[in-house]
Amino acid sequence: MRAIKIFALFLAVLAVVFLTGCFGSRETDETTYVLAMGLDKGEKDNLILTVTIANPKVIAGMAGGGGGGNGKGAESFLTASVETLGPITGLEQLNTATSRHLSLLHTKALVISEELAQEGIGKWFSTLSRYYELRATSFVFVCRGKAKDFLEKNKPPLEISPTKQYELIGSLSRAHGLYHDITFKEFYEELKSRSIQPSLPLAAIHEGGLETARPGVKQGGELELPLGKYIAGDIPIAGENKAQFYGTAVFQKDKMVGTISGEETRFYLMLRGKFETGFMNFLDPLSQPETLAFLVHQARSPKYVTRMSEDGSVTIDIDLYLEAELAAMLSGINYESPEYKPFIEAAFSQYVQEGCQRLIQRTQEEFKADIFGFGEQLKKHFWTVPSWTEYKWLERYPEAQVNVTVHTRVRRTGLQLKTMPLEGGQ
Amino acid sequence: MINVKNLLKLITYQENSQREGFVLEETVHDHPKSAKGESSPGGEDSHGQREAQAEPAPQKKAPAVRRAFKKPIRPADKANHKQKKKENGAAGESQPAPTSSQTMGEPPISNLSVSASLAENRKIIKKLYGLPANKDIVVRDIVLGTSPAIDGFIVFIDGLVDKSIQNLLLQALMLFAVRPVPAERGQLATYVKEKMLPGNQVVLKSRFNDILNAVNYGDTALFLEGCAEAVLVETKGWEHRGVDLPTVEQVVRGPHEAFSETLRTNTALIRKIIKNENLTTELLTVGSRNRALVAIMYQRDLANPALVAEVKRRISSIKTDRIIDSGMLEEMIMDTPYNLTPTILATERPDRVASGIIDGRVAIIVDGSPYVLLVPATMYEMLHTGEELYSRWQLGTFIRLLRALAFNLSFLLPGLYLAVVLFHHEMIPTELLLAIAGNRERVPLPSLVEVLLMEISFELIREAGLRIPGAMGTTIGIVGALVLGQAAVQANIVSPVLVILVAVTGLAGFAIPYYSLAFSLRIYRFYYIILGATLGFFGIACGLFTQIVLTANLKSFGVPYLAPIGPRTVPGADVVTRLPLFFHEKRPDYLNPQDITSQPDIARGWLEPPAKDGGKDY
Repeated sequence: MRAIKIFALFLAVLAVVFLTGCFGSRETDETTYVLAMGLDKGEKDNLILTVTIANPKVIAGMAGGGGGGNGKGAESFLTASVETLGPITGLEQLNTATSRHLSLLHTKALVISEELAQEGIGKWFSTLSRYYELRATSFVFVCRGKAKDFLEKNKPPLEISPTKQYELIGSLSRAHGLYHDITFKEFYEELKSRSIQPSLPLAAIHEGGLETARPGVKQGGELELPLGKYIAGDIPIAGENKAQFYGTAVFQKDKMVGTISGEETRFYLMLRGKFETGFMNFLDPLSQPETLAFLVHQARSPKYVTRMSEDGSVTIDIDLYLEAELAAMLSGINYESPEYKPFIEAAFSQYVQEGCQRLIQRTQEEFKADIFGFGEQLKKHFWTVPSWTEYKWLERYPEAQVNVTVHTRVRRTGLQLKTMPLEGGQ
Repeated sequence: MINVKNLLKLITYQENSQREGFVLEETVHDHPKSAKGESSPGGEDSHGQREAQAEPAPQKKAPAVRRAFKKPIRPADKANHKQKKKENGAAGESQPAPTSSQTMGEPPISNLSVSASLAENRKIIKKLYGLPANKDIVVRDIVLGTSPAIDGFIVFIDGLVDKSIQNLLLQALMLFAVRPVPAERGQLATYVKEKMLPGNQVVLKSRFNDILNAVNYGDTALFLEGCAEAVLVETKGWEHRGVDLPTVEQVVRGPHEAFSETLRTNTALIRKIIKNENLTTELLTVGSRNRALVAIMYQRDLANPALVAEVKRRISSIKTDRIIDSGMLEEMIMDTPYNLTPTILATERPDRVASGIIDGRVAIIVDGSPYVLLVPATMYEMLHTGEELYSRWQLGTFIRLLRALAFNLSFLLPGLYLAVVLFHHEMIPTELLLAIAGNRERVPLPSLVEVLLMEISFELIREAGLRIPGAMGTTIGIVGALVLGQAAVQANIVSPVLVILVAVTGLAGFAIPYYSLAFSLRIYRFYYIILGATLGFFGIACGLFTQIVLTANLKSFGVPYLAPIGPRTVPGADVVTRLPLFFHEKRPDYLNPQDITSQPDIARGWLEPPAKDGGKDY
């Protein structure tokens, strides 16, 4: 009896080992980690797949016998490209040229070229989302130009590997709101949703230096503030890293239909209630063309009121609540004094309200895409899913009437209480 | 066919019909008075070990049949057991001689009574001790200086007796005893005891058995001509280690005394803390050859009498030739000796034992062992040191939480590392994974082999560090560990991350206060290494589930091992966190003490408003 018991226990243990399918054991030195993946439109086949592969030896500081630092001898990551049929096939093809299994478990970024995005990316995303190794929390970007170039030229000088860069980009967007961060699974959900159209942050390689700068308002430029002028790739930055993240790519279904600038991205985030904080410039109401700047953050999530009339036309009223802190006053007017407060609050509210309305107008007329997710608010007017599906909100969005009201409160004056005129000379 | 049937039987559900051997039940609570009446008085005579030993356990707690796969600590057959007990009882009634020596077949000559003839007695003593070959035994002939002079001799064991006490004894008998003695020789011993001997413990015994036991334990026996009794004088005084600092359970705050090898010193150390007449010490003898004295100490008005009876029953039922250390006794009386986890607490700190006794526990002290057993013990008790109560409650709670972390790390960390590195790469941050992967690039071994190599060398260092002789011990241990770790990394045998990991695991193991528990976790660690390497987190989850089930099933002297969390009972103020002392109003509920209240609701009387008459004058 005892022997039988032991035997039965042994069988049970064997069953545990062999029936569970836990054969995915893979040593770290049998694996190579794809840190970022780029998709380009192929010239002869469907796609050009580019991968950034980590070189852990260099990252752990072991290159060259552990002596000197990294960077000089070997790169901490390598890139490789292949022209192929689809993303997973491409990985397999690349695997014929690498000694190790290419793992997508730590792929932090998926970069799609503008050209491919305009053609439609739904099928590639459904392929990828089926793959068991995909990291669903990887960030997705649309890249102006070639994704291959972007991955090859994106060499963040401060980071050992680009994964940290992509991770930090997510948190940085919360600090200024000039682009937004979106993960693979969020994008895929928005792609499939009937109440929102997807959007992706824009990235690009900026090859030049300062020469792309456009003239400011005082130099006779357009009456448009600097942030509104640019999208990724145009910002005049001279420096080590060539990669820029700025603005948003707007999608209709799975096709990219246009871009909005960084300033517009802030309005976009405000309307979605996702704006955290940012340094916002607007024209000084008392002494144009000087500018006034507020450090703004969204006090609470916006209030949406949706109304549907009998014939199906929709009115959406949005109340935005912003809190501001005086940050920069180039005109030298003592805006800290309380009597100016309602005045600058109203001016800033008007600025934001106009910006939002302009953006909504663009999405309705130019892109015909509800990237704000107003459909989520409207859904409650429908009792069942089929009636909501039948309503075809995404097609009707351009006819909707959207009104934005902005409530701004200036809470602080920064670290200074008063602006004093400069003493001395006249 | 029969195999298939057995197999089916094994995997089908069957109601558990086998009762537990001993369960500390909630009876005292309901009838505290009657339970008190049951408690055995037996602690009056500090030398009355024989009475205590002969006392049978109350019949109502007759042991049930143990599970078949358990080692039969007690005879598995109930009837057989009863019969044996009856035999013991009968032996106890007719002859007070210890039954153990009877069964082991000692010469029956020791059952003889002392004869009135001095020559006869001397002959018997010579035979019993194997004189003159046995050189430890001293038989010294004396003549008492009384009128008329009386012949006599004393017997003692050289080295066990205190020479100065003995000199006083001889002086009293030979020089100062100048007085007439009664004519009747039969009463001589009583006369000597009452009138002539200044020793503090003097008793009369008429059986050689008693006399041998006393002499073997350092007493001096005085035989007188014409008297059928021997006078036993307490002259114990052997060389021993004094009360020293605790070496294993060190504390910063709290008493720095530890038990030593002498039973009487140890009982005194406890009694020194609990100055209470209800503190009872009972003595039993275990081990037919070395006849180790085992003292059990408890508060007569607190400890559950059923628990005391069970402790006595288990100890007195043990038939073995030697009990050298409390560790041997521990294994003999343990509920579940096959489980890796210890269910009896051994400590070298008198303050912990005293605290346990006041909670209603029973302490078991084995002569010759500096570790005192405390039963029942729960796992939470084993993660306490006593110091938490002496330092302030915030610090105590912090240390407890830290220890909880150490408890988990000490057996899970290497297994988790393997699971992550082999199966779940996505679970850790990319940078960390790349750092681990990069450091492993040059290591030619699979991670499992790497971990096992490092763990085994760490175990070797621990064991060798303990055994390295004398002064070079600690130095070589530390240097060896450092050199081994550093060299192994430089030779690309292991990765530096793993060295850190093994070191942290080792530290976590050392942070567990109870050595025996830490040791069992060290062994559990290897199970988890295998599970993590073969099945990943799934395996570790399976292992944890199994371990939790096995541990929750444990009992320590009838108390569930994970109480008061395992079976949820009244939580108490001192389990995982340690609340301020004035909240410790109840004793541990699972011990079912006779008095559950340890202090009133308002323990700090000064917080109460003063009485109307202006208060007492303190």
